[in-house]
Amino acid sequence: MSDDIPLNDPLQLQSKLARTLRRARELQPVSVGSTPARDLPHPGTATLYRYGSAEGVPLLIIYSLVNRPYILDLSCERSVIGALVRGGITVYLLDWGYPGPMDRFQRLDDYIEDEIDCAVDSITARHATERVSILGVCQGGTLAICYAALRAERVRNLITLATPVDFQTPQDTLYRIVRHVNIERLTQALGNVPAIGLNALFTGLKPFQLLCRRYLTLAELDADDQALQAFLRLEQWMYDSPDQAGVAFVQFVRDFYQANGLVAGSLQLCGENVNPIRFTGPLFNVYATADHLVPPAAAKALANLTGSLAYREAELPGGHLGLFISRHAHRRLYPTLVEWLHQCSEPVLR
Amino acid sequence: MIQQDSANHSRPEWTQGLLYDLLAGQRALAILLAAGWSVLTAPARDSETNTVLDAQLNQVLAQLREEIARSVEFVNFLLDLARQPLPIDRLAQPFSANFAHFPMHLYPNLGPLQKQQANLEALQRTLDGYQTAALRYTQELSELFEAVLSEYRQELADGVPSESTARSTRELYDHWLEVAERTYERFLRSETYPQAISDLLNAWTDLRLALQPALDELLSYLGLPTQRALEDTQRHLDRLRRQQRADTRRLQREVTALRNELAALRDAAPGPPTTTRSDKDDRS
Repeated sequence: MSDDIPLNDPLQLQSKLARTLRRARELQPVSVGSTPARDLPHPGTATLYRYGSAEGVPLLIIYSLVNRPYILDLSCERSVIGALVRGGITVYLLDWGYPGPMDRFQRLDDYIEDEIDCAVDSITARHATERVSILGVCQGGTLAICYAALRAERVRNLITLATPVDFQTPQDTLYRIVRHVNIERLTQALGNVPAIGLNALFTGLKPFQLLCRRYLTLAELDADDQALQAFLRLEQWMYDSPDQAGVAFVQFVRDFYQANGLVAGSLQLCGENVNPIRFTGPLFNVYATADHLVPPAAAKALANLTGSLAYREAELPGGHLGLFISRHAHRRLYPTLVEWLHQCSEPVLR
Repeated sequence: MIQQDSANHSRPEWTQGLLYDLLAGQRALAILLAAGWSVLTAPARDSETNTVLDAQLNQVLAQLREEIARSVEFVNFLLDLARQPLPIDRLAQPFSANFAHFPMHLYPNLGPLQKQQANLEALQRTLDGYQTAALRYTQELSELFEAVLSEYRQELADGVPSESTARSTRELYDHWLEVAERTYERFLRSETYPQAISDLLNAWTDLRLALQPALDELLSYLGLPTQRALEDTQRHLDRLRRQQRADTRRLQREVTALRNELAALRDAAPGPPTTTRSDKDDRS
């Protein structure tokens, strides 16, 4: 690309950038969510969606609370959900929505007992089965591990994608920043934690890449509407973040980051100690080698904590988002996960 | 420092909110990058020697220093406001000689406004704390910028990227970003930089909490709900939700138990099992 922009002609770059920006404006708003979904009755505050036929192998996706789950279905070309559905999986997704002021006292225990457990009830009833497979993504993976530890008898298989387990590894920049923050007082002042603050925190981890390099590459999308749309979809997703329910956020920062409860064995949820060793079913742990949010060591720590008798691990090159949208992940990872799920799942009785 | 004018207070134009001020560091980072880019992409490149580039980078640094200095203005402005003498102080001036040895912060809280006095004192303390934390953070940022520029200069002087490999402004800029990112990550992994961010956030929290009583008093005076009122409502709603969920779970357990009981009775009963319409409805 640099050959196209000679040293003494920055005007050419400016002109290309201006053209792309104009075109981007024309293309907005972009559509997100490419796979047809059906929302199912669910008693909690979240929404339970089903993708694909009701006859496939059921899989519940638990996504992070800090972002929106449509990164898993951003476009037809790079849809995790689409890939799973095509592989004969019936995908259920718990969408946490956007917590409002009245959700301020929602706890992590509520997310587990009233949302995840109810979703599992609903899926097991529909598929006439006792147990359901769960795929947890990032922070959602941490919640999935907790659920599998607390309700091991209800989880058939567990897949964790970019999931932090050890929150105090030396490479964990987020931990370095939040370890001295008085999180109780912060939420006392704010109520819910505003998304704009969290976005500032995440952007602040890679400001040069996310604020400079990223927008300069726009000029390279000058004549490629498809690539520009993909850029705009990701851009929309990155900053379409929900506020965080105050109490649940305090629990997550205090018990996971500051106390490293899963590793220390001190984590208490739903009135019980959370011990990942209780889940003994098949477990597939996937992480990215250059993930700046969940360093590989943070995810790999699961191997030493789980009681899984069939633990499997996969390492993918690239960063955090690459696990969901990279060509490599869609070519290699998701076909493998589909095959693994079929191998590890009991026959559907219906 | 902003000069106060009683007729027309000159407020910095960016005093829209404390949160905005908290993000001043990021803003300064963005300005650094934009400025760096403008230096590298300046149309006049005739005398593009290392010396010229060095001078331009110095200019960027100077602009940056100015920007960082401005980021402290807002804090100073608030602090000045809090320290403005009240008219009552001027009236009491003749008596002040007697109390010269008795500093203001040692006065006890007396009279009908003692609560407000205590709140104001707390506000002043937290403002001091916030200013200290903000200064420390901006010092960290200054050190970061110095380190980035110093490393970049050094690498250019060492010929990385060399004139033959640096074929475009874009490559020079990319290299600048690489150096900046590498240095920034080193700072993020240090002890002091994350500590400065945490301290700033904690100080901001204290300040925000210290402002709340005054804000609540005003809201109450205007007949509007205070934070306390909102929090009470949130707690009440949360209790109701929990109660409702517990009731739902209890009812579900009862229904399941009844179904099981019914099924057991059917199994125990002689003759073929019958299915009623209501059973079907229940299962659906």
